[in-house]
Amino acid sequence: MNNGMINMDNYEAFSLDYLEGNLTEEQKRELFLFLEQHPGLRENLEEYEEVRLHPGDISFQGKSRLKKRDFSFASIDETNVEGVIIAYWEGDLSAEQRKQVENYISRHPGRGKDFRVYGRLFLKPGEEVFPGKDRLFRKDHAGVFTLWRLAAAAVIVIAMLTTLFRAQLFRKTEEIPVTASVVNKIVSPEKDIRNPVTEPEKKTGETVAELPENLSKQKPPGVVHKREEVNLQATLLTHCPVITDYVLPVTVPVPDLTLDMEKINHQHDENILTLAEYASLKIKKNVLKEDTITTPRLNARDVILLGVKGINSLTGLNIHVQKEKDQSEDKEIFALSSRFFSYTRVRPAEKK
Amino acid sequence: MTVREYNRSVEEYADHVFRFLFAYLKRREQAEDIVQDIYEKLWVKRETVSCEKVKTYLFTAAYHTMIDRLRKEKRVISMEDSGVAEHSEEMISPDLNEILHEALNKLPPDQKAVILLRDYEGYSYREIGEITGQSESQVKVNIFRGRKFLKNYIGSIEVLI
Repeated sequence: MNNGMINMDNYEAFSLDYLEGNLTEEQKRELFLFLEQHPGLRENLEEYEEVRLHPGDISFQGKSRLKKRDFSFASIDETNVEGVIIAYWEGDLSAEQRKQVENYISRHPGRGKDFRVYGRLFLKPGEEVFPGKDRLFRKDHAGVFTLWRLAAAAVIVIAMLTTLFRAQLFRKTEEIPVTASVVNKIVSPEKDIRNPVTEPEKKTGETVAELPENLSKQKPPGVVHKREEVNLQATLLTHCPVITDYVLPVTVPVPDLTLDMEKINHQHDENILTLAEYASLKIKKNVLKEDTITTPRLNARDVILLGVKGINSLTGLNIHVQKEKDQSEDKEIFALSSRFFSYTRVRPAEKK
Repeated sequence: MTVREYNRSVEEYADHVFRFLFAYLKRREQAEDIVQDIYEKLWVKRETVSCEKVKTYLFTAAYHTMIDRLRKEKRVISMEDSGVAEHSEEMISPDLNEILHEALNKLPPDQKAVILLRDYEGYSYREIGEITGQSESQVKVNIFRGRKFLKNYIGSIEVLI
C-alpha cells in the first residue's frame, strides 16, 4: 500500500488492505482517523467485515496418516528408539543396525522392558479350521470324462478289431463276381441287401426271369441290369460296412429294370462317382489327409483310422495306428497303441 | 490352474484365510461365508490365476470382500474414533495371545489387517501392500502404529513377562 494521506479516492483500497491484514499499525491508525472523520464510511467497513468468510477452526484429523515414517536411522536416541525397536523385531534392520540397537538397550536399561515387550507382541493364529472345506473341493470332471472316454474308446476299438473287420482287415478290395443271372423282380426294401448274392426266393405270383449268361457279360454301355446294381452295392457293403446304414435298398419297378450305369458305377467312367464313393473320397482327402488316393472306396483300415481319429479328437488321447510287415514279409502286424493300452494283431501278409 | 491345483489351494490355504477373516471379523459365519465366496471366485477365474499367485489372490480377495461387506454394514470403525484403550483389569488374561487378540480388535481396520497378515502369514510389506492396496510405506507405518497400540494396550505387561 502506498504511503500517503488517506482520502476519498483511496480509502477503499486502504479498507481492503485492512481487511486482508496488510496494513501496518501506523496505516491502521491513519485509516481509523480518517474513518472517524467520515462515520458513513466506517459503517461500510463494518459491513465488509460481516460478509467476510471465516474458515473456522476445522482441521484435518488424518494428518498423521499422511506422514511417512522412515525406519532407517543414523543414531538411536529417545525420539526414535521405539520405532527402531519395532523395526528390530520386524526384522527390518541389518546386522549392524541390530547390534547398534542391542548396544543402545544395554546402555539404557530403562528401555529394556520396552524392548522385551515389543518382542512379544506377535499374534499367533488360532487352531480354527474352516469347516466347509468339503464344499470347496471340485471334482476333476475332465479326468473322469477322459477315463470314461478312454474306456469307451477301448471298447470301440477292440470291437472294431475283433468283430467288424476280422474278416476284412487289410484285405484288398474284392469284387463279388456278378452272377450271370438277372432277376426280373422288384427288390423289396425289406430284402436283406447285405446278402444280395442269395438267390431270390420264388414266390407264387412273382415273375422271375433269367437272362442268358452272355447277356450280362455284354454290358451295353451305360446300362446295367438290376442284379448288377445289387451286386455293386454288395461290393460297397463289403468294403464300407459303416456306410451300410446310409445305403437304402433300391427299389426299382419292373419297367426300370436297367439303370444308367454312368450315374452309379465308376468302373465305366472314372469321373463319375456314386454318392458313397464321393463321400469316401472326401473323407479320405479331408479327414484322413491322404494325398494319394488310390481308390475312392473306404476300406477297413480307413474306417479304423477314422474311428481312431474321432476318438483322439474326443478324448484328447493319442492313439496310433500302425501296420507293418515283419522282416520275412510274410506277416503283417497291425497295432493300435496309446499310453494307456496297446492292441496288436498279426496276420499273414497278403500276397501280391 | 488345474482342478488339482485348485483343490490343493483349498487344502493348503482355506484354513489360513478363514483364520485371518475370523480374527478380523470375530464372526464365524461371516468368515465362512467369505471363504466360500472367494473360492467360488477363484474357481471362476482359475484359468487366469496361476498356482504361484493363488495364496496372494485368496488373501487379496478375502481382504477386499471383507472390507466391502463391512462398508455395506457400516461397521467400519473410523480410525479417528478408535482411541487407545488401556488394558483393564477385567480383561486380564493369563494368555498373552488372547490379550493381543483383544487388543487387535481395537485397532483401526488398516492396522488390524496388516498386523494379521504380518503375524499370521509372515507376509512382507510389499505383499501386504499388494493384498490391501496400500503402499509399502503405508504398510510400515500401519504396522508401527499397530505395534505401538498393542504395546500400550498391554499396559501392565511386566506382570506377564
